[in-house]
Order: sequence, then structure tokens, then C-alpha cells
Amino acid sequence: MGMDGNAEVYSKYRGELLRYATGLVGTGRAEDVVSTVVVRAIRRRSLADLDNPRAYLLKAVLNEARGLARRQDTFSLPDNPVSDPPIELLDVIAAVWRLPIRQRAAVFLFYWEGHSVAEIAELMGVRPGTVKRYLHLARERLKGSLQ
Amino acid sequence: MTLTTHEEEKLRQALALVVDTTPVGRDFEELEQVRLNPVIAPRRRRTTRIAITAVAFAAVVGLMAPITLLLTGDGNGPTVTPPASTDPTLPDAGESGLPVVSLGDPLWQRDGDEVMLGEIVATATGFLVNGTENTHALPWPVYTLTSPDGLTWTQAWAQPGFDMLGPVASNGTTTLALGASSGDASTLYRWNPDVPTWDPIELPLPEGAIRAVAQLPAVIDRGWLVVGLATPSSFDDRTDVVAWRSTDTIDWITETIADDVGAVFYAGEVIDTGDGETVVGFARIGELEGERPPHPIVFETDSQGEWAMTDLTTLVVDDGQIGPGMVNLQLVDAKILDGNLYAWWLFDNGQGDDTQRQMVVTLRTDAGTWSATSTAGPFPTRVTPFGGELIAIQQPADWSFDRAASVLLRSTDGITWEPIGTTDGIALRHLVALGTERLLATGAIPDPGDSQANRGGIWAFEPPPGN
Repeated sequence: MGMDGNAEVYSKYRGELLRYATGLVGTGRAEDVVSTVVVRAIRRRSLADLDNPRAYLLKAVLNEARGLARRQDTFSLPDNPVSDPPIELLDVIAAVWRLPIRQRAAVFLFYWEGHSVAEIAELMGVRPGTVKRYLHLARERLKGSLQ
Repeated sequence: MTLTTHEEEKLRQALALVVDTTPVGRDFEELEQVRLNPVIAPRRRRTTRIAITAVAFAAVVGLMAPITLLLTGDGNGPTVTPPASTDPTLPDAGESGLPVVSLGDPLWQRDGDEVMLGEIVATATGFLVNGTENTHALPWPVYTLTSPDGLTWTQAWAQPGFDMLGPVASNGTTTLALGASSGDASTLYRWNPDVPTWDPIELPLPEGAIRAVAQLPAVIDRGWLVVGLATPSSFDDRTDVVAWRSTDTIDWITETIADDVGAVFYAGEVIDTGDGETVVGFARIGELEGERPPHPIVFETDSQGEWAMTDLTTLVVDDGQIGPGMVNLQLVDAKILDGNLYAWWLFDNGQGDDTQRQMVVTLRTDAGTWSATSTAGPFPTRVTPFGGELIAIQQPADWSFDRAASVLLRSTDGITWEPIGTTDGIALRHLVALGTERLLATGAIPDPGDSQANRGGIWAFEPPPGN
């Protein structure tokens, strides 16, 4: 199985992967994260042979983003990933950005992508109860900035 | 806690602004070029593919392959017992006078070439074992067998793209294994029984490292410990021994076991002593060719994550306990019995058909003191606690097929071993207790007409009582 199958899968999910990565690590590192994940994946197997390549790649993006956040002392997200945001959203974006990365992932998948808790659990490789906990903790942290 | 409609809307507006910055991304052709030519990859991390693949393979075999050892005891170590005899020649099955242990029909079997089943681990839902096979065409197939009761086995997973699944460890609810696929570097995997599949786990790079590789996962009292190596710089040969620690296999913290070991390091066993604090690991450190020959090593930590590494050469090789011609070393196994931690180290002189072997047992008491004792043969190759004693397999030194048998050994002190039976025609590889009465074993029946063909299998049996 070769490049065609891989290219097809990548083409199909490229936008979603980049969007997710941007939500996790910002635009400056999203390309690297997705590229790393895809190159690593296609070195190991054909993406087309995976039962659920979308879930596999999204999970890998989260893992890569988490690893990126941990392994570089110098790595820190910009205070605000959006240049010149509206003043009323400045605190919200900053608060989202300060969330631990898994809470940020859960928020992004729930409130932006519109996935259910069960779907998020599958995409994150955790139990649904864990996703609920992430969302609960995230809401607590975000509450102040949203009022 | 919930958000109001207004708060949700505000949150979505903020997320929309972030999403609006999403880059276009790279074309697949560019990624394919990176895949085919990693040199041009804009990667911060690279992996030591060859080294770890070799380590993983050695672990699949079950033992660390012997490498050259130059022994350099200085004579100033602790008091040890006098030198022991060499390993007696293993008698052929049927000529040993030992009872032949009937293993019965295999619970699972597979005919093939070099079928090799690894260590059996107990899980929350039964047992799990990984197998490999040589198909004459790479990649080798790797598969996972599971059983709800140890008696009924099914192939739960297979992935031709995998080269191997090596060291495996389970705390009951979670099972981890080190694996490598399609010539790639080794990766830590978590067994997902619901799919079932092995999900890769991304371990964080230790602080300041440019790459790191895992060698050995282990269950500890408070979760998980993975021992591996980290390279701080691509401009020198420095290699740090590191550990990843986790309570849930999701969040990992890194610890440094030893800075710049300066030689090849193979972690062989990691054992939690059960006192709630101390974790002890055994390793061999040294090089196949080089100025620093391999030595037996122990490293241990307390619950604070502070590690200390000790070269056991003085303790093990003191006062000519091991002869100067003993040029190979392997860590056979390490187990706890009655609160004491035993590790069995096997030396040999690498003389082919005339190979002489000697074994030293290092013992760490529950008080934390170390001692070493040379043992007379027979020497165990795999050990498992069973009924308050130790049961071991002694594999034949000669794997020619007319001697395809294993001797079962029994010990109450970890030092002296009593042969209690043979497995005529079946070479066992790993043992684990199945309840209180029986043992579960993986092994193989060689095909006398083909040097590579064999029949891998799993058996359950009651060990002979011995004297």
C-alpha cells in the first residue's frame, strides 16, 4: 500500500488536523506538529490500512502537541495566538491558551468541532468520564473570562 | 459546572479567531520526501533506530545477548563465598534419570519458522503474550495472544508491519510493551483490549535531550517506570540513562538515573521491592568493542525520584570468584522471594563447544544490603516464584533438536537448584504461575527436519514436587 492511499487520507483530513493543531499549539507550530505526525505515521504503516485513520491522526496530533509542550523549556505558547483580537475576546483567548493542553483539546473538540463526550473520549484515548472532568475543570478556569 | 448560552457563544467566537489562523499545511509530496529522506526532515527529534531495535529484539528473545566482558575485580569488595563449579553438561532428556514432565497437549500452537513466544503477563481480563515469527520475508509478523483463564488462547491482534513487540509489563488493568514497526525506532505501546490494538505512547523528551529511546517498561508500586537512554547533543557520544515515571501512562515525568554512562547500556530488569518506596533495576553496561567492557550494574531509587547507580563488578567478581577467562555476561533474571531480591548473572568463557559457565547470584535483603554468591550448576535461565519457592527453566546449552528439552529446576534459596524433571521434546522459554497448582509456559517444539521450522506453543502443567 503506498503513497496514493496515504495521500488520499492526508488530503481528506489535512484541514481538520491543522485546525486541531492550531487550536492546541497555535499557528506557528501547527504545521510542524501535523507534518511530524503524518511523516511518522506513514513511515510505520499505510494510513489507508488503519481502521480509523482520522481518530489515529487526531490522537497523534494531541500526543505530539503534548510532547512538544513538555520537551522544550523554551517552548511556550504566545500570550495570545491571535494578533489584534477584539478587546472583549482578549481575556477569553488568553484563558483558553492558559488551559492545560488536554483541557484545551477537550474544549476545542466540544465547543468548536461539536463532538460529543463519547467521540472526544475516542479521539483523545481516554474514558468519557475523563473528558467530562477536563471540560468541568476547563469551564471553571474559563468562567471568569467569559462573564 | 455549565456555561450559559452567552458564555458558550463568547467562547466559540474566541475559538473561531484561533481557527482563523490555521495554516495551509504542507503538501503530501513534501511529507513523502521527508519520509523517504529523513535528513531533510525539519525534526527536532530523531531516534537511535538501530540500537534500540537490537535491544528490543534481545528482549523478545528473553535474555540479553552475551557480549564480551573483561572482568576487573579489585579484591577489595565485600566478603563472598568461595568460587563455584562450572555448569555441568545438561544430560539428554531420558538419560538424566529425571522424571519426564507431561505437559499435555498445547493450549495453543502455531507451526512456522522460528516461532517465538515471549513472556506471559497476567492482565485484568486474563493473560497476554506476544509472539514473533520469521516468515523468510521481512517484516516479521508479530501477534498478540490473549486468554481469559490461561487455558483458552486466541490471537487477538496481528500486525505484519511490526518488527517486534519486546519487553512487556502489566499491572493488571494496563499492559505496556516496547515495540518497533517496519524498521522504525522502538516505541512504547499500550494494549487497548477494546479494539484490540497497541496504541503508541509518546514519551516526553527529558530536559535538554535531543532524542531519547525507551528500553524497558516496568510496573512499580505507584504506577509505571520506563528506563531508557537520552542523548543531550548530536555533537558528542554522551548518553544519559533516564527514567519516565507515570501513574496513568498518560502523564509522564522524566528523571535522570545516571549522567553520561559513556558505554552501551542495556536495562535487563526493573523490580519494585514492595516496600512502597524502592525500585531496583539491573543492567549491563559496556561495549562489544571498546575501551570500556561491560559490567553488571544496579540502579535504585526511592520514592523521591533520586537515583543511585552502582557497579557490581567488585561485589560479583571479587577475589577470583569468577575466573579471568569468563568473557561474556548476561543478566538471566531477577525476582523477589520472601522480601529478598535476587538477580542471576551468568558468565561464560565464549569457547564454543567447550564453553564453561559460572553464575553469581546477587541478593538484596529487605534491609537494603547487598551480597553476592557463586552458585554451582545447574543454572536457571528463567525464574518464577511459585508456591513460596522458585521454579526455573534450564534450557539446553545445545539447541540441537535431538536435545530439545528443558530441565525444570526448583529452589528455596535462589542459590542452589534441584532438577525436578525434564520436558522431553519441548524447549520451554517462559514460565508464570497459573493459580496455586499449575504453571503456564511458552515454548517450542523444534522440527528435526528443518533448522528453522518449529511449533510454538503454550502449555499448562503441574510441576513435579521434587525431593
